Amino acid sequence: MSEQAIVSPGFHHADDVSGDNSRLPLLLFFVVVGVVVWIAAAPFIMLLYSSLSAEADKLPFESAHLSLDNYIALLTDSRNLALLGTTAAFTTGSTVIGVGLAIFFAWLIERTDIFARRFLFVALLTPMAIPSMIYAMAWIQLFGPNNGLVNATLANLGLGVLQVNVFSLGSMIVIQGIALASHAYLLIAIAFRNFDSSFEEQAFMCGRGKLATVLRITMPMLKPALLAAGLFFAVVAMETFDIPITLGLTSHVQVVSTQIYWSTHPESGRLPDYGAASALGVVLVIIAYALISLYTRATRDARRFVSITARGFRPRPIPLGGWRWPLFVLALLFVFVAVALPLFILIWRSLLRFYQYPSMAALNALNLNAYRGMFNDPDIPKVLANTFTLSVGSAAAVTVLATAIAWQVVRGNAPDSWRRGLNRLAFFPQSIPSVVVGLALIFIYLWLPIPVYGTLWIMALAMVTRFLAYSTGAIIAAQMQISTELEEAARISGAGRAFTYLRVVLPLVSPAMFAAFLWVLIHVVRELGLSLMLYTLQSQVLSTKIWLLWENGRVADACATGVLTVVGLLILLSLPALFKALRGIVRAAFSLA
Amino acid sequence: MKVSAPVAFAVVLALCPVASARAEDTPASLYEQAKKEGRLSIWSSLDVDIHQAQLKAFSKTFPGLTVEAFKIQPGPAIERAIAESRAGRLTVDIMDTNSGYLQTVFDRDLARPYPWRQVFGIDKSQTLYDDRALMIAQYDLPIAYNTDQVKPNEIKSWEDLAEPRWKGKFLLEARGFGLAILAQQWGVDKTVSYIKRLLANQPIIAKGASPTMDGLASGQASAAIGALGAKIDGLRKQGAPVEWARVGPVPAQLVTIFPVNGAPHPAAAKLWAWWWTTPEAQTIFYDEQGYGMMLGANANPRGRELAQRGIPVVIETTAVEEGRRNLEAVAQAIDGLK
Repeated sequence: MSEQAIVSPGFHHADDVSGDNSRLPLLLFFVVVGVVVWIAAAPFIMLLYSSLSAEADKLPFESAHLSLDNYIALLTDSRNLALLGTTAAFTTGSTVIGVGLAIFFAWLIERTDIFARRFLFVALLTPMAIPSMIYAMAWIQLFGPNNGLVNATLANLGLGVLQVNVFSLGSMIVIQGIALASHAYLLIAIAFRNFDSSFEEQAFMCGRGKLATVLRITMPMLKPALLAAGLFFAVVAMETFDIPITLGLTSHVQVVSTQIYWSTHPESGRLPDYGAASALGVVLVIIAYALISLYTRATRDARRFVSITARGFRPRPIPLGGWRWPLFVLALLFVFVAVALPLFILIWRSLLRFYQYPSMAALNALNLNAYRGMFNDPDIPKVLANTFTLSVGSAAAVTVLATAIAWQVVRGNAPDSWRRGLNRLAFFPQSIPSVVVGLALIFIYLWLPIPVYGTLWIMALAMVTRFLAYSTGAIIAAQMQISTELEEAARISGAGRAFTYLRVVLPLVSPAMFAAFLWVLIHVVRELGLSLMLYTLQSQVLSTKIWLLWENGRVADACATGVLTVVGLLILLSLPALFKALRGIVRAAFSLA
Repeated sequence: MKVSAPVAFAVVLALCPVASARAEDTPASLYEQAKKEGRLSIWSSLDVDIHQAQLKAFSKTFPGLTVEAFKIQPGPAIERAIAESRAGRLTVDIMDTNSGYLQTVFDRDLARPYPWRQVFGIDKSQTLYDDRALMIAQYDLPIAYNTDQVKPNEIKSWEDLAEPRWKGKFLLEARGFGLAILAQQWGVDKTVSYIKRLLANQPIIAKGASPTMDGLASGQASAAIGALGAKIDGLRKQGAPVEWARVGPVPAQLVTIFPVNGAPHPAAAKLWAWWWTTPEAQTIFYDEQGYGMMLGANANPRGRELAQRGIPVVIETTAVEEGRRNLEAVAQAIDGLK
């Protein structure tokens, strides 16, 4: 067998498994490509077109003249070099911290016998439900220079030397990294969960220590998931603006995302500078393309990452021994700083009309007015219903599409280059600024005779576009962990293609699908940029409601609604356990009967 | 200041013979058309609650209209209106915005002149841009301070905040609306030079009025530039340790309203626009949210106090391009790259 045959094609063809050369799989490939093109093409074309539109104070579709002026301006403005340098430092730093923390916690919770794993799992995911502008503000109220809770407490204790300057590039990197950790955890945890512990056990038997086993066995085998997380969250860090804009203004730290924000949110009354923002967006797409090419190259030989084989596997926890307590304390410390303190600020702020440093006077001023107001708000039932429909519907659509893409990319029988093309296509929308995606959808659906403009449907389409990349990355990584042996065994036993997929592959991919579903659902609930562009009176959702309250200076009400979001998330995270308990009760009842 | 709606409507009706001689519409004929239209869609940067309060009073004089108020930022609102208009699917009837956005609206013929004075007898000072829009408020942006940290009268001028004793102790709102309006009086160079001196004092820069005011009320900083007078009053009434400095000149932003050309419910839109200029609507606006006019016969209590004290108020220019240039120069001075 030639080297080419071993290394490439990177992913296993369905034909490898079935020997089936019918045209149906290829047809399915084109159906999937068609759907992805439908979703990704409009924003992408709008991005390219608007990057070439040359007329100031005009929307992209109003401009009659095209030129390279935006690119020339981007490349010749000396300030952009500094901007890219700062962005690279911010992105690299926060991604390393975020993904590093996520790997550490995923290993700790999924692969070891650490205490209170369920608690740590829920605690780690909680910051995702805190509205981003409130999360960013919470860090100022914790570490602000004059009266930040932590800084002021340190000063009162005579430990002023330990005070943190929250308005600095270093703080921005650390805080963004902490925020990313929560988001990256879900993607990485599922890969750890699917990891066959027999590999580690063999390493232990050969005399390898725990650290060496993690570094030499566990991590290399999880490379697709870890690289996917690193790649995805590097792009996320590049385009996130809440933390950079909240913390970077005072220290005059600008990154690409804040520059895109200012370009697309001019306060002078001019229309957004879509040209400049889109040219920057194209740069992000190119960077993303380069990153995903590296990812594809690094994960080319999928067989190296298989951990679920026909032999069966048991993800047995690694005993931590003497490290159990120190690591548990370390985890609690992180949860305290990254989760409990911002959550405390959110709850504390929701109980006060205006923020007060914790004191007896502040305790006396605590009230439930914001919660009363929220439950008496006639909009809330509609807002909750819309949020539920949009988040569940979008998450389900994204998960189904991402699963189909993952199957085509990893197992499809289309040519390699086509499948890699599909992988890249699914990733592109992530790099396109939200405002460009929003404008593209408005433009398309105002002109097409498809009645989705002004409804939840257009918002759902936007969400699918926005969150497809993450889910695809997560499910591809999970798909790559599954050996083709299982499918071969099923096919040899006479199972058809559909039966094999539904009864063998899907159950094994389902944990990743559930994680992707959960992740998308949470992010749809908190997504603001696109929702603000597309929502109407009839399609208000929680994030726009919180924004309205925030903009009107009703910060306590906004925080109370934020608390409601966190409670909703906690209920959601408890659902699997509830279902499990319910299933146990039902089984017990039947066995008694 | 309070004039009941029936009285206002009676005055308007009394003007009808004059109005009808100059224009086709009369308030009565507009109301008849509006009743047939049945509803009104508003895209507004204002809190939706204020539209509900106005509707309650409006409906006493003009019953039978359903009003749907939708809060949306002026920028995205105008982008959407442009897209809808070009697709021939306008869903909005009336919009309010700060004046900077109006040129974009005018360039696309989304607002047309209307004989407001002839039809409704609206004062000339409130009809702007060749009668294409009406002025409904002037948002004052005074220096604000935290009363736990700053004594009354401690801040005596804008220059004070550039002094070293305020180093790191004040908030500066990033968009610089108030400073851009002051640039009309001070000149752009002097304003930019002032901003540079402010920046040398290492202010905490916040984006948006809410974080600015919340930061001030929480004691994050002792003073703030960019807080809205109405919101400061509102917070103070709720017990927050905040106050606005009686220091001039006080900049004030123009807020306008205009019926959208080609809208599905044009008569209702015109009636609603007129309503906002009435003394009754202005009183509701102040009572509910603390906003209103700073100058003129309908000036709100803050405006009247400033007039009594002889403190000048600088209203945002109606020369849109000049206003935009000032805003861009100020925003860039505050935060480099923008």
